Amino acid sequence: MSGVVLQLSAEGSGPLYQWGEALVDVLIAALMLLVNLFPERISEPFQYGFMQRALLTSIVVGAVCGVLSCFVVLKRWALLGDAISHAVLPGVAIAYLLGLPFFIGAFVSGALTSLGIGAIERNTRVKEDAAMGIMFTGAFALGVVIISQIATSTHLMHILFGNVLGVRTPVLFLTLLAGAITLSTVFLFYKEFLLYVFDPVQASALGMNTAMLHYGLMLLLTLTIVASLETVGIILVVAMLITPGATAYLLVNSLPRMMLVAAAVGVFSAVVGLYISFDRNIASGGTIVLVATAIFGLAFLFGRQGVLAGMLRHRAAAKEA
Amino acid sequence: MIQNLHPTMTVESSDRKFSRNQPRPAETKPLPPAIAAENLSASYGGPPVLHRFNLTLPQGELVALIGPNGAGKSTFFKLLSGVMRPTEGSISVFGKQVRDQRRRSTVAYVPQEEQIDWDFPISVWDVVLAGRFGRIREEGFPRRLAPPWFSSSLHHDAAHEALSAVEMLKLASRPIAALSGGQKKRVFLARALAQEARMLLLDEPLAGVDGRSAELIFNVFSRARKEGRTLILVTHDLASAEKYADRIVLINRTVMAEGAPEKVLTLENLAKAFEGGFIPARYEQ
Repeated sequence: MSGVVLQLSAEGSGPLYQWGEALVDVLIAALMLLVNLFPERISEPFQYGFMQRALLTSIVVGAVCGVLSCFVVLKRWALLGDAISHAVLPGVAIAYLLGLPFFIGAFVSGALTSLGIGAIERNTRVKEDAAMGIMFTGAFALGVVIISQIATSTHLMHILFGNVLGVRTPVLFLTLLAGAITLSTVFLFYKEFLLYVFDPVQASALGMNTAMLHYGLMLLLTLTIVASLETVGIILVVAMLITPGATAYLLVNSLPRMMLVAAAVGVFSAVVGLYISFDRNIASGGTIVLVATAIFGLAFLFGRQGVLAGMLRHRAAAKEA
Repeated sequence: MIQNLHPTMTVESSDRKFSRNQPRPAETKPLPPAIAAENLSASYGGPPVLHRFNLTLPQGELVALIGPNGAGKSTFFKLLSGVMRPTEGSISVFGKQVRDQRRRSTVAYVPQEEQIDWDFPISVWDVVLAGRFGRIREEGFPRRLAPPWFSSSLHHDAAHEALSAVEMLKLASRPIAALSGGQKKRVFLARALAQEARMLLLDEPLAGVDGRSAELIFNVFSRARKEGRTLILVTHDLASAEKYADRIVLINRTVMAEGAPEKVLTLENLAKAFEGGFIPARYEQ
């Protein structure tokens, strides 16, 4: 019962945060009703306030990353996602120094890096992959240097690898907000994003602004990466932005279903990973990603587009011939 | 449904409502040309792909664009669909700038097979419904924000009719990965029909297509032409072009020859356009 009582964080004030805290309270209370249905062996860790916040964060991050990962996989943006996730680090550090919200700094440095990638690619004979490699490692290194000056190495480790058990209410509220913005944008502009990813020429011929869609999708990626920083960290967030989508890609044949399956894979791996990491006392970000990778492995072996199905089809075809 | 072009289309298209099986009323004023390109140049940053390109095409014809690889045929389509902007000169579609026509779904583009990712998780039905996205967006807020499966039945009817026109209704729920070459072409043709565009741009609509599909595709073309649509196709198939097209445009970075098939398709013209290189087979004189 005491689980429902929230541990309020010391920082954060103003009406927005109060609203946010109230919203977080309500969501966690609803979540706990579900969790308490499980046997005590499973529900027990979630009696702690920090585990409740970690659970809600994991669910939101898993779902949002899952939905976006479909676009990343279909648009072949895996490397770009990796680049953006690394490039936000100096932005986060500078925003921290200036007292700005993390998201603003992260977005500015992410955008500058992608502009830099484009500038190198257009003006020199260096190709896109090398340009990405140069820019994102450079930005990442800058971030590491700045953070090593202003914070302890534990803090740096938390940004790099995430620490979902340390999520405080204001951060959780921002994660919720980022998730809501991302999911509603994808829903409202589903037609535009679908056509932009599937057939950009047709999107353009129908008068859609493809540049806006391109940068809009990148903006959503940045937003999601920043929202996931505390959960899986900069280095592993790209796994959550690829693996669930790739898993769903092996299982279903329509984009809405792919997004649902990917979101489910994302939520499942985040929650199971969280539980295992608490139970075994191991790093949460790494555990979450390992669970997602294991699910991908299963889909790879047993999925509709997987190895086993391919072998069976092959054998059936051989028998017919 | 298909023949009723969209209400937002203006004066010059109003006589087009009397389409299919009905004689067109006498025209009171001349229709603007389907395409008017003046002194058009375009490039991808290097040397111009199109250079001093002048072409005026009337409405309602089936036009075949013929030229060697790299002659700028696909680039011309990109300019017409607004994907690319000319570096010089001007181009108008039905008397208006391409920019204005884009938002009215005036021009439909049927891509070449290799431009599409056939592994994409999308069904035949969803591809064809995507032809309606421009129309759905024209409905304004808040309806333009609804995902396609919530949009009005008008759009679903149009997709249904387009699919039956290409005889693909039975395969509507199939993923596009499971289609044959001819079926792939028919699906994207259905998307263009569902769009109810006045101009159809078809990039190699007959490449890799079996005989039955080819016949069906030509039937769809001639029906669309009777409805007053303008069809422009890029093709290497000179024999079919000669048989079906009202007009042939030979291009190689600029217009080399233009007019009725028998006038344009002379060995002399072809040799000039193909610069003495490989002239597509199947053309025997």
